[in-house]
Amino acid sequence: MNITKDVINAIIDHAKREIPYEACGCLAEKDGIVSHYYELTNIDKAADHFSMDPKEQFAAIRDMRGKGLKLAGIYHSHPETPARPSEEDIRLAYDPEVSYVIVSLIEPDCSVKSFKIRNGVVTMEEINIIDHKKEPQIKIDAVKNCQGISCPMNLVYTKVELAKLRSGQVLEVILDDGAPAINVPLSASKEGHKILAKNQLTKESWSVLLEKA
Amino acid sequence: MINLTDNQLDRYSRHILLQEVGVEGQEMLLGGKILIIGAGGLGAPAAVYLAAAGVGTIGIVDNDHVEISNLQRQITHFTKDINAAKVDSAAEKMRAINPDVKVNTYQQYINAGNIRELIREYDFVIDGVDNFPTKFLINDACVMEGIPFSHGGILRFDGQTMTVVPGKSACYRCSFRQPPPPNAVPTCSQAGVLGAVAGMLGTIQATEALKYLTKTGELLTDSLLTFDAKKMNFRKINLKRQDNCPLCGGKPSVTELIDAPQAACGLKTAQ
Amino acid sequence: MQITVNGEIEQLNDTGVTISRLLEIKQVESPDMVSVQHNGVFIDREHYPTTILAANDELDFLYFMGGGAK
Ligand SMILES: [Zn+2]
Repeated sequence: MNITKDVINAIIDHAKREIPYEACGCLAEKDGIVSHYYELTNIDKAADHFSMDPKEQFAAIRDMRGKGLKLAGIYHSHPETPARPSEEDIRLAYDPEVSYVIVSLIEPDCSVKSFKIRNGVVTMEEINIIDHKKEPQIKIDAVKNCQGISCPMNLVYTKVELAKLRSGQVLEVILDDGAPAINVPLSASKEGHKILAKNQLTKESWSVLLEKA
Repeated sequence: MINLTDNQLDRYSRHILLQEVGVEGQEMLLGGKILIIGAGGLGAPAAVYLAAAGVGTIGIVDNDHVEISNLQRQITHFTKDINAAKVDSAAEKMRAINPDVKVNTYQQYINAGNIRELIREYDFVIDGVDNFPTKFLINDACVMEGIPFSHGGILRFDGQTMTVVPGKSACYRCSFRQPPPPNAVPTCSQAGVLGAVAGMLGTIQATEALKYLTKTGELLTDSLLTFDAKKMNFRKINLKRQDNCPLCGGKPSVTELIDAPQAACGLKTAQ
Repeated sequence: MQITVNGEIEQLNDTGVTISRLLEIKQVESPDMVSVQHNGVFIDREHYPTTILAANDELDFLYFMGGGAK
């Protein structure tokens, strides 16, 4: 699951505010990145289980539709137990497509874990945190989309775009996940260009900001 | 700046990927002009690589026709080309490899009367001729016109090459002064050469031309690279401009081009 | 006495060896096809019999090489 750092921080914060009770809410995504969250009321007001307020839940879904978002997951907190689904969590999991995100407040630095639950079988999934704040206000002079272009032509196109810029100008290249996202910035940096930022946009794509040498 | 098409980006991708060449270097190649004198053992492999590299204009000079004995090493000429003019045969292959290249053919002997005008149109010259009077003629004309060139020679399993940048580096006459007496030269038909050795040398000459056009690396100036393919020994002999060089020295005695008498194998270019 | 010929170290037992003599010792087949560089300086053919080698001299034989064979 790709999730922004802002959302991760917000749900941890929410979990802390609800102590001693479990906090709960919904997560919404666009283009494969969880970028929105909805704090819902735990109507059980309990430390070991939660029930989301159905009215708030519907309101959240409606809001998502309006913003072109999709429900990506349900989150809740475990104030006194580790971040893994309890028997009750597994029993009550109704949608195999959504992620169940659990914030544990007993583990160091409030661990957040995500699971898929299908027919009572729990699979943990990787959480990839995207930090958009790392590159505040970098002025981008040109953008080249190299998605679907394999090595080495993605580097060729990157070099062509860099050749059009002046020293110090910034090129954003969108690259496929895997070898392209690793190799293109590496090769560009070997030629003296500076990697200003590298962020995963979606499961399949990365943005790399290169400052021309 | 030339705007390369997507097709050209694909074609030249392995050049563009090189840090030292890149887009700018490829554009220099497309804008470059190279004259190959002799469409034979040295000129043919050089022509193939220069055309493939996308050198924008390539001139090729040779008066000969393709003979079956050429095919063992003169790789631009195919069996079907026997009796065709060598320049036409070479041009056909260069155009087939790369339609970006403009090929100028000169089916003629070069001599003191026509060489200066011919080379003046080009950035760099490749000497691919087989006889010494013509090698000295190319050297003298290039030095007089200030056009850099690559000298190349092969014999049996051996090769030698040097790049001359007139006014800056040693010229062929600095070290060799004048053609050897005609009777001292192993007659062309008797010496023999391993075909691939011609390819080794011609591609070194092409590499020098590409380095020159893209301003990459250090040219093979002030040194003679010699190799013995039997042992695969390569050696670089340091040379320097000689003040008593009859052409580029302080008191030159060679001040105009002359057509020297020919060795037994005639003024045939480019073996 | 030690000299370097074509990049390789050679021992000369005699003194007073000239370039002409060295070409004989090295069994150069056709001396007309060789240009000699002595410590980086081109030597005129007419000076081969009078140029005497000294210890640590560097000699390079530059062979005339043309194109390929017809
Ligand atoms: Zn000279």
